[in-house]
Amino acid sequence: MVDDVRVGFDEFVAARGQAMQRFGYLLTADWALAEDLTQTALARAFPRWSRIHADPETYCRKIMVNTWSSWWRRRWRGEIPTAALPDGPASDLYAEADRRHVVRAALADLPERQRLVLVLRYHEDLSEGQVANLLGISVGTVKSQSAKALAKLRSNGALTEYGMSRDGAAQDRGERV
Amino acid sequence: MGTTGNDVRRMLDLLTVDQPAAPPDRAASVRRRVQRRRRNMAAAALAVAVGLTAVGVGVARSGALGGSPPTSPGRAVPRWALPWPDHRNGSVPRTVLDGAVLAWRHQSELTTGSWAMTAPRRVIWYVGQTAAHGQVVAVIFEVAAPAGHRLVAGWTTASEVMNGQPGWRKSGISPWVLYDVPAPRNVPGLLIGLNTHGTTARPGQNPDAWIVALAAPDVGSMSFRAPGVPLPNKVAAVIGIGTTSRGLLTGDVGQIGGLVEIDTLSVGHRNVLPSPVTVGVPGAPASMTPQLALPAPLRLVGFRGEAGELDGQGNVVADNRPGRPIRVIVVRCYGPAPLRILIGNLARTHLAGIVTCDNVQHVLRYYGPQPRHGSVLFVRASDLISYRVAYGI
Repeated sequence: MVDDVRVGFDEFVAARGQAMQRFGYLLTADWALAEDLTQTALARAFPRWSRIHADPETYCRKIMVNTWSSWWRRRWRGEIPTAALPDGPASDLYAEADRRHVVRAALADLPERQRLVLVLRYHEDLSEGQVANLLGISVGTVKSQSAKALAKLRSNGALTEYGMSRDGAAQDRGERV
Repeated sequence: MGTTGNDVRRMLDLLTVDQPAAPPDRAASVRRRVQRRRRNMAAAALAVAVGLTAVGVGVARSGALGGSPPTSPGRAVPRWALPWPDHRNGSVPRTVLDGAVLAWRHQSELTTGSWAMTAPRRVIWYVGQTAAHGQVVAVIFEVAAPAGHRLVAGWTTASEVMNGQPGWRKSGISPWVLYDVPAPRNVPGLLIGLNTHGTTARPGQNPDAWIVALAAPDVGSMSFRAPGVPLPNKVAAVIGIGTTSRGLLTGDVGQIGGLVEIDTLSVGHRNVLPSPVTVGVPGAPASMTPQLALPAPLRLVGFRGEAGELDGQGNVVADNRPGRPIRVIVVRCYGPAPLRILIGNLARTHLAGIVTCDNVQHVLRYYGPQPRHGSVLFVRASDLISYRVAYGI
């Protein structure tokens, strides 16, 4: 029985560990923190593995969201805003990194709840109902948070050249993923 | 480029393309972490058991020597703090309580002018729990900081902090109503009170006012008196006696129209309160005003265009300049006296109307003089009147 749990856990970590880390990265914008968040979630899930093995990913995702929320609440006090970013202009060779930097900054600029909703909705591809269930909020709140996040991204001029269209609102209303 | 949703998906995928390779021993590392945590928890449980045994022995010895027993098992407080129990009952998560302390730091920074001066070296908790059937969260704590030893008491609506919201936003907004005074001395009859209110009401009524009163743990009961709202078929006052839980009382004082007073603090059959005191934080007069829930929302009819809105208790000024003149004012208020609306500018005002605070929506139409480029609207009301006002043309 114990060995079954261990094998099931190891298989899950091997199969989904990287996806969990990616999800963590989109919450934290830091690969080391993302790994820490992933391992924290797995460590909390492991003692309950025999009970959650039917759908461990949902369980782990929820732990990650809750853990990150508590970290965020604890750590934001130490935040020191800076007007100027330390990076200088990069050459074309680094266009990809530059693009990621712009996207990362835009995402980091969103309030925590909006970022969570956006990542769960569009990266984890959860439905509005699933996001609401995971975050313990209403579907209406998910919709409004998602709409606000998209509007904020749309209003970000730096993103326009990377394909975030300002007129995307009408398209998005028609999309209803 | 597809829809906005696809744009976002592409952006998020782009962010993770430089994902590092998975650590080779991630699963084993997690299992080791779980084992470490189990060992630590076992060690902590053993330490607590040893500690409780020591405290038990201490209680027995102090009783035999005739000394007073500790007020809260296992609780040691510094000399400057009140030797009162910790009433946190687990109804409020630690993160919410931390949010209250953080909100206090930011609030104090505004008065001390220094973030460092508000860095808490130690926080002693007395109250951190829900009240009014879980509708509000009340906190009382003392803090040692470079700015001195402070007593902080306050409350907030539970729905504003219990769903993961921060205690303080970078915009400077906090859901907490906090009162901050120098840490009081532990004198007989010391009472720390909070006025608050529920958020739901019985049909046809406003939410009740509530009090949270904290006294020394040997106070077994308190009696309180609250003037009622002077309306037909309403009682003139609420008078009650409540049994405390080790000095803490939370009580529903109903629909009130005046300051709530504590008459007696009973220790056995003896009243240790020299004279009646108003419920509030000692040294913070603003805390003694009952906190009243807002009246029911207004029905905004009769306005041409958008209406300005304000709400609250006591006097307030709404500056509508530059803007259109004010011709229509809609008011709903309740309290023991009428409310007056004046219109004009900061130098000269004209009475637009006097409104009876009977919890009914009233519409005033004002045709008097007003400045060309918009007016200032003054609400003149006592602190015991709660109102909503909308104004426009």
